[in-house]
Amino acid sequence: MISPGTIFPGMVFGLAFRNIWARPVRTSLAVLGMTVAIFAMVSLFSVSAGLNRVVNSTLDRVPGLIAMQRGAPIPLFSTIPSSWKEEIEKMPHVTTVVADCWARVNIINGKTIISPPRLLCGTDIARRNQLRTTLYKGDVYEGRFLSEEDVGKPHIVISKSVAEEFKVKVGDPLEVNGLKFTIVGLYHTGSLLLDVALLTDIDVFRALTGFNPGIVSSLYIEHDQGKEKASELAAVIQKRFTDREWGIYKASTILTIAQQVTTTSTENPVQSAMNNLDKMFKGSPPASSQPKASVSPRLEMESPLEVKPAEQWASRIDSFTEDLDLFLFLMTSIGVFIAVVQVINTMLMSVTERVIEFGILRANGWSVGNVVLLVVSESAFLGAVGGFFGSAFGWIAVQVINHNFPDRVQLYAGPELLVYSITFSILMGILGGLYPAYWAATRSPMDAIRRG
Amino acid sequence: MQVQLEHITKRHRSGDEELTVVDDLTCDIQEGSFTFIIGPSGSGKSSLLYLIGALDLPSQGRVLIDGEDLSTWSSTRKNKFRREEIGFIFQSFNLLKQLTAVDNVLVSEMPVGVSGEDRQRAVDYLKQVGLGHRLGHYPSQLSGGEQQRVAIARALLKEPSLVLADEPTGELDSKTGAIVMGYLRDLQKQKQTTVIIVTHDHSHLRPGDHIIELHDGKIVKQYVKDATPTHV
Ligand SMILES: Nc1ncnc2c1ncn2[C@@H]1O[C@H](COP(=O)(O)OP(=O)(O)OP(=O)(O)O)[C@@H](O)[C@H]1O
Ligand SMILES: [Mg+2]
Repeated sequence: MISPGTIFPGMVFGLAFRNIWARPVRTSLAVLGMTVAIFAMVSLFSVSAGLNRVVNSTLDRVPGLIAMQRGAPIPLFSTIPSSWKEEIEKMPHVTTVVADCWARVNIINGKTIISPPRLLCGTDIARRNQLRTTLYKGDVYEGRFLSEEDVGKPHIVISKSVAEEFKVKVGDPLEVNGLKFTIVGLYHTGSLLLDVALLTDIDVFRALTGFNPGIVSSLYIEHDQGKEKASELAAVIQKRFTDREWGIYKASTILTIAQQVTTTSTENPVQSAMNNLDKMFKGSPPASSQPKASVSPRLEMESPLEVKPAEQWASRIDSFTEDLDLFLFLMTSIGVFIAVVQVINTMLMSVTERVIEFGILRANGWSVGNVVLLVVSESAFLGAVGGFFGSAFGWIAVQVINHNFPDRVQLYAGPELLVYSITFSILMGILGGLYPAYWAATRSPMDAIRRG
Repeated sequence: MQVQLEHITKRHRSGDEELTVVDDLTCDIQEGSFTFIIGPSGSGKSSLLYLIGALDLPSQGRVLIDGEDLSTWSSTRKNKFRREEIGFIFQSFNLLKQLTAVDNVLVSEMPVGVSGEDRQRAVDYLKQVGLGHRLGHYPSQLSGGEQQRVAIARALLKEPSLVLADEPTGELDSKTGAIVMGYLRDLQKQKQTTVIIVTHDHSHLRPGDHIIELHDGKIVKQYVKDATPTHV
């Protein structure tokens, strides 16, 4: 038989739950503090999670090796001799090598491109179509991908986001940096990093941009080795070019971003990190559409060619997001600290009012541990509820931001982040409850009851 | 349960002054006896009761429960003792205001788990003390006498071997007080429970009761009601 308003059988937690509902205003205020802190945490961390996700979703599409000039952060800044392509193609285990040339797009149909950045890619059509990888090829949803018949013609394949931004469709003309193209296909990879490319024939690209015929930006190397052996093959290819006369790319933009995140003191570091990231995508440093081999001294035994699987290239971005995470952690911990102090305050107020209650419980055989558990589960509830609302509001904020800025890096508040935030919040609640719990449990039960 | 007190002294320190609340007190309380502790306000009656219930430690002397020294018990054992063996009833403030009558009866069981059977027994005991129609009520919805009966139901649920009651009828009218006292007498008669009651109200005393009279922390008289008082 269950009477009205009964608690769950056998649960100290049931009583704890009762207790926090007994003071709704005070409870709500403590929960609010935690909610705000966790909200800030979820929204901020969704930025770095979003960056990571962009990188990872991109890497999944790029299983082969990428060869660039040593020191270049992205293909846009890299220049290597075209002849190296044939050399690599003849090496064992290498199946296909595609040469690409990249240039930053400044104007499309008369409109200046600022953000998101767009890149024009001249690609070796014949080779690209030999790739097992379906990147771009397999992502065409309207029209067709570039084929033999497009060689030598100003035909272009663009992403959905470009098509939507400029309201163009297959068959329409498109003016890129003042050069006239005709759209033959639209693709959509869903990755912000991959969708920046406007693809055309490499010879057309050279003819139109005046790109030096002796050089290419990067090589994409497909091989018959498994994932584990890919790095070995990369090392072999890289080593082969050690004795070549070729300079290395100087400023590594990404590494300086990471440094600035940790060292800038006067400027708001997140903002400066974001600015730098933006610069990186836009390529505002010496990104001319006609790169020359930048020459700077290099170490004797170092190859001017850097060959790595895509995920190793991305490790630079990873180390940046790690720094970003550390910074975000420091930022959020201020909010969390305040929230924990508020929980401590709330719980202390609560336990000092309930000394008699603890006396009654102790007189009825509750141990010190039972009382600690009672109080700590109350503060854990505060943390859990705050964590839940904070995560929920954070998640909603992320959806709203993503909806309003579909072309920017999509923020990501995934299940891991939400679960982590709620768990963290519960832990902080427990932390905030420990001292009040200890205080409550160590009152003399006799004094409590005498006091009445 | 037998309770023996051997040269018990309890001192409290307030500032520079040291106050002796229980002063070198020795006595035996037999299993199944109905014992009253009487005496003027401030004579140390409540203090003595808390010492017996292991809610407080004596400054000197020993409390023996069935011959075993309380001070040698681990806190786990003391908790178990209070949970399973002792029914405490205080003058007031017996109940948790955020819990219903039934849940207040079950408070002792919460740390070890409340079974459906426990809950049924709690309901039965509440019915037994005449509160069958107040099961889901909160303390604020109950009269003082009803609250006191909830505390008695809680003590009964444990089927304790020792009941310690500190002025259980202090805030009740004489009729309700007599009813409450009746439950404690029934318990002692039916289960041979040792019952120790602190009271101001001599009208509850009955022939055969063991009376301990305190003054300034010392026993001044100890006797069985209607027998010749023995002076200590
Ligand atoms: N923790 C304490 N600190 C200081 N003095 C205390 C403490 N506990 C009890 N006392 C003092 O000890 C004396 C005895 O207290 P106790 O409560 O045992 O008396 P009592 O006989 O129960 O009185 P009453 O009939 O008024 O309840 C009182 O003078 C009281 O002020
Ligand atoms: Mg008293």
